Amino acid sequence: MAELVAHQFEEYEQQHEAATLGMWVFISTEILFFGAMLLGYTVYRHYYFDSFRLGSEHLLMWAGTTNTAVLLTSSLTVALAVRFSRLRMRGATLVCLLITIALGLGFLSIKGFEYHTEAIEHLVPGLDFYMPEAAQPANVALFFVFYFFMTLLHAVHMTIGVGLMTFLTIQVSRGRYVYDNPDTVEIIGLYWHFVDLVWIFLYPLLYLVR
Amino acid sequence: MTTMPHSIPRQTPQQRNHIPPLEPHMSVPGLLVVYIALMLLLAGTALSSFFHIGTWAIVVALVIAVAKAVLVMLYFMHVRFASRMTRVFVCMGFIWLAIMFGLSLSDFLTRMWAPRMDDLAPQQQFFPTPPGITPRELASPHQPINFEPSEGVAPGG
Repeated sequence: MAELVAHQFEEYEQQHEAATLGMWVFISTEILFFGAMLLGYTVYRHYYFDSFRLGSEHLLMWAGTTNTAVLLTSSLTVALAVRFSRLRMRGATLVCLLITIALGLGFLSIKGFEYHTEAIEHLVPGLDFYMPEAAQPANVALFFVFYFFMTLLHAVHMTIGVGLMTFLTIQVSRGRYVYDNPDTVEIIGLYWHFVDLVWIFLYPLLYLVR
Repeated sequence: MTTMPHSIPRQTPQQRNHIPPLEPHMSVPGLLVVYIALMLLLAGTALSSFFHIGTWAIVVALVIAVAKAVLVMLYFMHVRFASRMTRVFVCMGFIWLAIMFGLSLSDFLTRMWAPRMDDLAPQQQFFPTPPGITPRELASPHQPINFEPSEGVAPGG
């Protein structure tokens, strides 16, 4: 078992601040990473609002809302896992991590079902995009380009998050991080919360264009 | 590997490591309260899309999204309990985002010389028509036609 405080730090508070600050620096870069796409989406939504509204009406709103609820619940379980890891409760931490992984996989499944539905309905630009009721089909296709790129980028981050949570579950089941330094659980939790944050903003921007 | 006498009681890894538990920043009821608030905000967002608010719909949706984000950041991500330096770094990410949005939109939103593309005549379709669909005349925005799909076409939308 490792020590609580690594040898290069003087006390635990310093180590904890270093860990969380490092993760927040990374999250700041990711905010700008997504922000660039959001900016492009905002500009073209201003120019082609009617086409973007038509495109948004073709999305499955129940799927988007359910996905948001799933991610918010997974954020709760992650926060609970961080709490239990600091309290050295290994069983509770494991349960929360496993529920988080299940919710993350549920999100990806609903997203996959959405993509499948959109592929069938000729809504994928570059494949066989066809929208007869649109006055400007190219602009509606542009909406779907933004939709697919942004949600795919988010799904990639989600997959990375599920992988990290799986790694964490395996390590916690062996007693690591819960009986020595729980900061790793916390900073991986920060990453998961960030992925949830991105979706909190993607959901109204993509699904609720009315 | 030392052998231990059987009279010494079994120790948990926690006892062997002698590291006391750390202080959790949020209690379970506290986290649940934040979670319920988040779900209520989500319900508010979903319901607001059914009311005809018009141009303010995006404002309402974004305000609710910001509220959700603030709750997640303060309580789930423990920013409320973080050091001042960490909080500065948290704000800086969003400040840089605001700079990018502010400077870019100050350009794009003031381009009055660019006409709204949706009002122009319909452009040519860029994408090939899927097989099995007979090509038809494209209508102007003021004369929508009812599209009658031929056999073998999947219903759209």
